[in-house]
Amino acid sequence: MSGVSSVRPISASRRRRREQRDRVADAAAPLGPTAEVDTLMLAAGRGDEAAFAGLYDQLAPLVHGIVLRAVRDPARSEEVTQEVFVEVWRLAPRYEAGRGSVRSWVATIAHRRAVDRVRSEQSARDRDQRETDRRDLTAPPPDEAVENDLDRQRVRRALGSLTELQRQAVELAYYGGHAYREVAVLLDVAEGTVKTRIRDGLIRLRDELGEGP
Amino acid sequence: MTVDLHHLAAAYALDALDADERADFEAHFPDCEICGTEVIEYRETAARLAVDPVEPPGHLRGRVLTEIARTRQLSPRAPVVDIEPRRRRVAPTGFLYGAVAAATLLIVGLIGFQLGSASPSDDQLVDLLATSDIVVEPLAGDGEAAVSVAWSAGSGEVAVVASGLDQLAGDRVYALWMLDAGGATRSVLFRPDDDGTVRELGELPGRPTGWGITVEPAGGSPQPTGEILFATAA
Repeated sequence: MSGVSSVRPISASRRRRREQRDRVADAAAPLGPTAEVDTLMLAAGRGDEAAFAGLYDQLAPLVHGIVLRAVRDPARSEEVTQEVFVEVWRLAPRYEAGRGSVRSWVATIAHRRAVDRVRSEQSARDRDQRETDRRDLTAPPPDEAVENDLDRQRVRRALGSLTELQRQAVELAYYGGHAYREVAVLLDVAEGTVKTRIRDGLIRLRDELGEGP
Repeated sequence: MTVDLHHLAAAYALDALDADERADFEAHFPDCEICGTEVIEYRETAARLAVDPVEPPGHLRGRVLTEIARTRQLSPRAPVVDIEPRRRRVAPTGFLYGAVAAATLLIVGLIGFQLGSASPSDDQLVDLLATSDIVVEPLAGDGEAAVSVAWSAGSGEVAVVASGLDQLAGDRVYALWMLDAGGATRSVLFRPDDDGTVRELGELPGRPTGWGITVEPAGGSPQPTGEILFATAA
């Protein structure tokens, strides 16, 4: 593969990532300067595998976190995370900076892939599981190690600023991977109400969280 | 359509639409400036909700990098497509993201359309689309027809799906040509259904660098003789 020289060695980006993690105070940008992710994405879009490796190092925890939360099973989550990155690689030449950040672009691919996996398996699975999923959502999120992550606290606060129904609808949809019709059943409210609450909730979150990292 | 599509952007950004609504919305939002902007914003917000990063197992990195090393990337822009003996420059598609979404939609929609009757070829089509190395490419052409090709090197199959395709005289047939460094190789011959839709499967004759569709005499030709009606635009 040519073009390797156009990016920094992987070990350097790993080191940088560790340094960034140490800067917890700068948690508004937990994945590092977007400029670097943008640069890596640009290079990866030109077929630069080393740049893609750097991208993987920066975004793998984000992707795996999203996937694991929806899919839950560790082995299946690994498969999905791998699929997500292969998809990111395939689509990288078509990433357009004007249509959103690299982070949200990759997160979108990850979430959709995870949700689609859950739904295809769910249709063949005991529906009782949904009740379990729902209970899990009301439990505090795992991974206390990152409890002091400021960005996470901001998101928590933003979620807390929603009405109860808005928050439940958004969480069941995003974290639980449920379609809004399922959310309506789970919350025992009309489908139209769920749609409105998701929309209002997301608008509120957008306003609370601002432009983001 | 009873649901106002404009109000689905938020649920769409959270992947909270069911398959039908998602398809409807994806057909709508690339052409709707308001929804397009909202989707981008909502996706940014949704991505912010992902605050539980989890380091994947170390061995996954190697697997991913091995896999991408043998995975072909999509092209960012329309290349010039050469099909011998004729040459035609294919105009770039303006909004490729939308084009790919539309291609995927087309395929999903056509499968969904046929699920009730579940003919064997649809099962095969579903199997093909479920392969991990599936590549879906919308083809560019004049007119209203939407044509896409999906192939998997792993399964060695290619599918061509289309809607709104013109009917042909009885002695003519559409031909799908696989393009590579060696030129054009005939792949699938097909005719649209009465409603202009196409769902055809065939063998993948090699490693494609592009695709083209011509009209040929019934029975096909060893090499393209008709004008290139649709071709890889991306």
